[in-house]
Amino acid sequence: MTDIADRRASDVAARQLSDAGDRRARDAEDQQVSDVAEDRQVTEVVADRRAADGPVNTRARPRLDVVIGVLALLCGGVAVWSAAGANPADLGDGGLAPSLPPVFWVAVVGLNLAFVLSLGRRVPSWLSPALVTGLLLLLYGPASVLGEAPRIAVSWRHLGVADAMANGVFDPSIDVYFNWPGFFPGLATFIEATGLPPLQVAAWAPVVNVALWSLGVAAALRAFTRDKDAIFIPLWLFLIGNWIDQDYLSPQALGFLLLLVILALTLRVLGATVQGGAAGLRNFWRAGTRVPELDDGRVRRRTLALVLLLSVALVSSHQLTPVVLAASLAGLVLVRRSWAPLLPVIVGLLLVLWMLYPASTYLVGHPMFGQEEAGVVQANLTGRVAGSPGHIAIQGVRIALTIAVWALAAVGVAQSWRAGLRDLRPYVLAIVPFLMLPVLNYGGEMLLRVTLFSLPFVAFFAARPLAGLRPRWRHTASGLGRPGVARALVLTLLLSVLCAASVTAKYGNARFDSFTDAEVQAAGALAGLAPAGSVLVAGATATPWASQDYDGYTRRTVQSICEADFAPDACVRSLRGLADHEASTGGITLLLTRGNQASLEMQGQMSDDDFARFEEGIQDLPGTKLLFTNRDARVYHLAPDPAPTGSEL
Amino acid sequence: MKLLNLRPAPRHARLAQLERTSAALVCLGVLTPWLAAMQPVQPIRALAAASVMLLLPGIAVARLLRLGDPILFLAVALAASLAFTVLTATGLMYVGIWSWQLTLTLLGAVTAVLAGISGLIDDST
Repeated sequence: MTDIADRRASDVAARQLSDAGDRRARDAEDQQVSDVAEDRQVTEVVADRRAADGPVNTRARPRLDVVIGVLALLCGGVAVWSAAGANPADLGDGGLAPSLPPVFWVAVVGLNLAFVLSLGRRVPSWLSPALVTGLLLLLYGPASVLGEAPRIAVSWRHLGVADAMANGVFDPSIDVYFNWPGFFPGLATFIEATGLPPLQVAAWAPVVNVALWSLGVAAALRAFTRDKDAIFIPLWLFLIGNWIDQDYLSPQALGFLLLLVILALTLRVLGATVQGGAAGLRNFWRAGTRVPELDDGRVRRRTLALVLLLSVALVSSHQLTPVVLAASLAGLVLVRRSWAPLLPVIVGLLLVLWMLYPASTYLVGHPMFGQEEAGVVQANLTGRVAGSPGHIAIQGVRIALTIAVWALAAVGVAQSWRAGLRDLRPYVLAIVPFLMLPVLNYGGEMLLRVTLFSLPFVAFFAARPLAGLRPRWRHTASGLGRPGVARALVLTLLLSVLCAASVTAKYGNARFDSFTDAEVQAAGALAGLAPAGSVLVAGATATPWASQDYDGYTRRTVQSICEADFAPDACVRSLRGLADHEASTGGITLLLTRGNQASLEMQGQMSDDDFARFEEGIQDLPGTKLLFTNRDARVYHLAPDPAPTGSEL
Repeated sequence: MKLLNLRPAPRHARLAQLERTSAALVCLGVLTPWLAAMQPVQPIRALAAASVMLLLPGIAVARLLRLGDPILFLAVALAASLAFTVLTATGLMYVGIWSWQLTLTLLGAVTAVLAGISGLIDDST
């Protein structure tokens, strides 16, 4: 009965919001609306606290709040500082986590304790953003300071594409980037206009991107609740659960931000409710009238125009995200919570038009839809859990962290349903991305991507069981007393373990996806050593190259050339064959780095001994010259065989 | 003077504030791209260019939506600015006349036009 009463109270408050007249009237009655919102917030807090069998306390503790805010920022700063000393060359197969000093882990616990102490009570508006900033620095700051250059080879490549486009190269036959180019002209403009060093832009992109995502997630989740804890606990879990490493300088990062903002606008400004419908889930479609949540038609039309603009930018920038957007919007239409039923159709049409014209060059031979050749499970999961024991352990942590968040979400879904939460929107947005898994072909990365797309809404549900562990603040005669220790400690411990798992998972490849100065120097020297138009070969995709002269060379890797057989002798023969094939440009230039070797070893493709034999085999080939060497890299020139045998011909 | 006050003000103060903010945005839309194009010392250059690419057009758009929630306002402003930047730069590259100066100028023009529209539209009727 209590739940029903609370739900009714919430419904009344919500109806007061939606019935408050048109937007203009609401603007004019801002104070009243915010009072209503405040009432609604308190109602929801009370409902949540009752569900958790604890009292709610809205009295302030200003001194404690300042301490918490300072502690959060201090922990974030300490974490970045302590990770800055790590050198990729000193890391093992376990990645960054085992090399972090104890002070980092103290900061993890301290930050989570600070967060827990901000829950279950009213706090000033600056405190939650300060806490999120602390977590951002702690989890994503190391990405910016790890190694001696920006990590993630792909971000180097993206700088190269932007550089090429800035220099007038806009040829869709080059590769996929030139078929969905939107992100790169924007990046080129940013780098040229700000005058910032491109490598610094790439280094700090993860922190900036995730900060932007956090805004988008908070904006979207506020469609479901005004309860501060019901927004910031999911946001906390989102940041922890996002080990997926798609936040580097990339079209995906931009696409995810646009997706979140479009969904936030659709949920909050273009939303609809069904009035007068029959009770029960099975009847939700049969009866009732769909009415807009926002009465002001002018604002709705302007918002629709903005959503279309954002969608065009998204469609031009990334091939996968618009598909998920169209499906998510369709899901909202199906549950009758969108006032723009044609929106998913329009987004779908934009996508089709883009594929038919600007991206048609790439799509010939690269189908977007259809199952992976290796099968969904093999391509997305089992095929990725392979390599050295340390690497497999890291994959285990990644899977365990993901499953832990999903398990929490499953409990949260059950609790929400039992508590009468029949707002189907978060359920739809959490599930729809997974429906894309068997449909889209994305090189074995679909599981990672759909996990990211669904994470904000999965975290929304996962937060619910954790909300039950919020500390109970005791009342005293003089105000707010101390929190209950047991709950605070349990929640702190749980969040700290999840944080530790996140750091372990996210930086598990740090040995090879972070770079040293020596590697960067060797990769930079390639352009001066190899003739223009020739083929450059690196040991692995984890190479800090292609940030310049993107279209000036053909770049390949030992990982792709030797994919059929990584045995050292066979791999040497494959490279020899390629050098002969490229006789017209004088052979190939081969770069072998510390990170290449680590990548091949950790992914189970070539042991350290095999790598040494492979390099010896290269050195023994007739005509091979060592062009460059330093602490972490060698550059060889492989000349074509001057007297090929008949079989080689 | 508060140029970009996101909090809704009481109605009697809102119209005057709307005019001031619109006028400020129009001025920023004209002056900031010019300032960035002059390539002043850092960090002034980076701040000027980044504000044109990441904030100004989006703020002009978000104001048209009368968003009361500051989080949604900021998210929309950033995303809309990025979208304008992406579309403007991509369009200029497609037609082969891209330059960062021209891109910033167009983004400033978008800001000024949208802010002007926002100032001219009377949503009270």
